[in-house]
Amino acid sequence: MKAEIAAVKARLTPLGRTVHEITATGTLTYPYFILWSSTGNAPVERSVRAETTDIDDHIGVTTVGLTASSVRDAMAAARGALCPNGLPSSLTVTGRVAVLDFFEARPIQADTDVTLTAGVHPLYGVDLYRLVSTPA
Amino acid sequence: MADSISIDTSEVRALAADISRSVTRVAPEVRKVVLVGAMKIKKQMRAEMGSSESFKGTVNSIDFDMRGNAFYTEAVIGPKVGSGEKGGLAGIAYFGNSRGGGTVSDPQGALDAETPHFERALLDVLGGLL
Repeated sequence: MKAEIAAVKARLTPLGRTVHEITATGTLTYPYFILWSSTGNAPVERSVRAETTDIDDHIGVTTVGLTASSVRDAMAAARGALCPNGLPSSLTVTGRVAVLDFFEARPIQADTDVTLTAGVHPLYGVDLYRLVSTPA
Repeated sequence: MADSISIDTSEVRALAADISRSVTRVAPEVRKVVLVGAMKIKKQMRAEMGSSESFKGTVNSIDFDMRGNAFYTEAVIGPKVGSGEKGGLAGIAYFGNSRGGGTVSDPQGALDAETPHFERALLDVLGGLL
């Protein structure tokens, strides 16, 4: 899963926004991305030949900004980088066949637990992607 | 030589009537299958939420509602939100906030785990029709 996450991060980094992993810490520059996942769940139903290293899991990309528009723009850019033309895409992961597909978009909302200067709350949206990764 | 064509549809109509009765007969059985599946999904979702120190207080908000009539059955499963309910934090548990990602397994996992069992049980019920 580590290599797959690195491959996803490599797609997002050229967008020019900070890509945090799991949590966003330090001085934050908006908009930014948070890339998060589990350590990699196995498929629910495996064939008898399935490798124990098969992964079928979701990866979350949280986009955080100061305006709804900036969040939408950054989310669209991320989606375009991860799944160009809205299609599943292959990740470059040595020794594996890894395919990423857009799964679900959660509503953009204000994080009222966080208040920035001038009483502004950051806005965030979450896109979920399905990752299927098997040995090549 | 006949100057008209007639088609005997009586058997087709009898089959249609039989299937209609079967739908009525099978509905309670399908409802049971949906109910069992919903209970298992709820159990897994509660277990996953309960394993989180931060969000275990929302465990009891995870429940399901059964809906339907003679022709369909559905179960809506998830944390209950609104007045008097504690499920509002579940969104952060599953999908995170502006400072971090979700920390509790996506409910899709519980759904995916149950799906093959649900399908098999449903096929058993439908097989009884034949």
